[in-house]
Amino acid sequence: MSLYSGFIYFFGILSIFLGIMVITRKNAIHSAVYLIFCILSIAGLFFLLQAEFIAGIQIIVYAGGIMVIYVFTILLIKLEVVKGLKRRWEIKLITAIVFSALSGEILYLLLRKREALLPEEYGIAKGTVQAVGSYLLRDYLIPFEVVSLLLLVAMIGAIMLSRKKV
Amino acid sequence: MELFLLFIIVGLLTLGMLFIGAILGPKKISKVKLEPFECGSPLLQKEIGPFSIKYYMVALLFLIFDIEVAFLFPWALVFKRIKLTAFIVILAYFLVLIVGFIYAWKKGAFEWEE
Amino acid sequence: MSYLIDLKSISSELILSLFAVLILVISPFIREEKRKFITYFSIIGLVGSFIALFIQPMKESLFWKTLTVDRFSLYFKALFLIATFLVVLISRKFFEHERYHKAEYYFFLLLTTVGLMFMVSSVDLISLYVSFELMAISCYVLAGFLKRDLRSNEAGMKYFVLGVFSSGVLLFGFSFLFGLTGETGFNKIFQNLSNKGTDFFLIIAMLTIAGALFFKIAAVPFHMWTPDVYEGAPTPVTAYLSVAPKAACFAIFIRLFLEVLPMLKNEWQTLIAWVSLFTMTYGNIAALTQRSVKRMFAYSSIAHAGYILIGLAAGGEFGIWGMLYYLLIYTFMNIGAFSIFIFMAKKEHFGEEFPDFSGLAQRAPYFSAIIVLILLSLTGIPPTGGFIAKVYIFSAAIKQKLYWLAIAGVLNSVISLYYYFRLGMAMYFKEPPKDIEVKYSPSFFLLLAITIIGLAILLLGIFPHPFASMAKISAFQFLN
Repeated sequence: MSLYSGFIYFFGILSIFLGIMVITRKNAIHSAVYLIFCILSIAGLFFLLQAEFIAGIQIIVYAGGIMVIYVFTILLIKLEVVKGLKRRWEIKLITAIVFSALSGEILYLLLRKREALLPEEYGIAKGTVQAVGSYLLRDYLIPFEVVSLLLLVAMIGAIMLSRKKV
Repeated sequence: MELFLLFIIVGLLTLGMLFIGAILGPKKISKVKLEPFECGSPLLQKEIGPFSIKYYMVALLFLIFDIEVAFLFPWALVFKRIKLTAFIVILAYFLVLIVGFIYAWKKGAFEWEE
Repeated sequence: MSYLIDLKSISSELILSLFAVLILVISPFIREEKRKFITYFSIIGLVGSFIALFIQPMKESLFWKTLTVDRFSLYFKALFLIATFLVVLISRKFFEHERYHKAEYYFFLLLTTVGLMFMVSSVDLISLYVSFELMAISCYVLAGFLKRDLRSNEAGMKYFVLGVFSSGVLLFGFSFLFGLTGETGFNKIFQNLSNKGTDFFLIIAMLTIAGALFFKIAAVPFHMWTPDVYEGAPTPVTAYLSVAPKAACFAIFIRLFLEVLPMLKNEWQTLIAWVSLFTMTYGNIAALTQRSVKRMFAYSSIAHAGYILIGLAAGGEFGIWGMLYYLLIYTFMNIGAFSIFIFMAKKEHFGEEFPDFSGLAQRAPYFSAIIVLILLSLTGIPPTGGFIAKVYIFSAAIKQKLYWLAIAGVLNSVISLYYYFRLGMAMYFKEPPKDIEVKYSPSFFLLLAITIIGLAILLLGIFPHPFASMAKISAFQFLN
């Protein structure tokens, strides 16, 4: 076992552990804090897979931005209301189906071992920030510009719908 | 390789110090110590109360600008190679978003609604 | 710098997004009374964009093979622009009556159209997904646009939560396609897949993509959101949602399934044939028992999605361009069907129940005649365009020996006759109630819109040939 795969196992197990902590905590704020660390350890995995840009995005956008929204949402609702709710069996069923489908897929891929799983074995490291940049500004130029319209729509929509008086 | 070793040694050292501190340190628990710390002043409220929706708006705007800025990193790294193209592309990108910024400003989205 | 020349080929999208952004910039600076100006402004943008469609050069691949401008995409773009134009015409009266006439509405409407136009042009997974999201997010905002109205809030919330889930499923399917081939361009994916042969994961990819698109076109089993959202959303938005995004998703169906996944033809044909059967049957049977006319039309639009899917299931010579023709006539008749409520102003909101329409023919003969024309076309009775479209679709099914599907389609049309004519009966043969709450209140734009719709329905029914050959030329690349 090389040091590289050792780190991959370390971050993988850490993120699974933190993920379990997220869904088992009683206090929602504790869950949120565990989720931040979970996202950070997933960012570590992305770093090891040489997807630096996605790793950076994980830290900047997910751990930085989206978690702020999560925490605000938790603070926004009255937690006493949530505590009284029972978990319904339909939700459990859906969770079970999604979970088994995803884990079955991963197991199938692992057992098949036909295709390469790591970017190195693909031949090229595609995820460095520079590579992403040249993709964004050349091959995917139009989607990139459409993204700016998308962000504009999201911003105006948020302002329109959440302000009392517009 | 040396870097990884450094990380491992430092990590083990930190964990060891924490462990030793937990075992050897004296523990004196009092009511004041267990309360949440609020800059030393007495607590205003016990639990987390309901929260104004206005914060949410700020968070949403923050998130959107955050994503916008995140796209600047890859742009900056390829700018040297494809100067004019990169400049035109990012100009169009930011023109669209500046429009959103002007709108938000004019509509008072950055002001605190009373 | 070759991409600067490519910009010419997407000039209609550029014009439209420019107008949308301009509307947004000037909106904070104009006063409440001057809002009417924005309507004209967006109409100018739409007309300019429509003209640009005919001027801009066609090109096989643009911007490093992310977009294409072919006849197929141009046909759909023209269709979206017509739909948006009609929706703009019927919007002003509605929002002025609700006292919520905002410039931002036109911004979202135009940008949704831009998203749809990019969608039908995309030949790349990433540009397809990004433009799909642009369309979807603007639609969520539009559905919940009347933020003081609880029904609209509910519609926006429901559409948002379920729609985001379906976008996620679509992305999941795309990730399978990417994972199997390592490519994002449709052409390259197709080449890569046809060398490999079918794969278990390819079928999963097909199923997830189809599921997400079924959600957007409101096909059974992913139709649950439709009646609530269509009922709660502002009426012009409902008219738009039931037409334009649906048409775009049908276009994506055609492009993805015929260009990228033809190797799974047997699988997806069976899937779509069954979905189409359930969709039209469910839509028609559920429409029978509705109290609200708006809800009835929501179910009827589910049924129409089922009819159009027959064309995809059958394929062949008639199927694909039959779909294109059907979508054209469907655009007119469905916008017409939803626009009738805006004529029926109440003190608060609008008349949407059956009793509101009773005895309408005495008060508004012209308007009632056009409603009857729309209803005839929705049922598929000559001399309307709906009849011709159904003939094309059903004959496509018969040609492909899908007799059961064609028979089911005809039977369903017979069922639909009953509920459409409940409305006609109420208008012509019932006495108006004593205490009339509803006032028939047309405006110039509304009358213009409904006249255009009536003329188009007649024109497509009596002289179908030029339009059919146009649809045929547009679908040429998919007929082999």
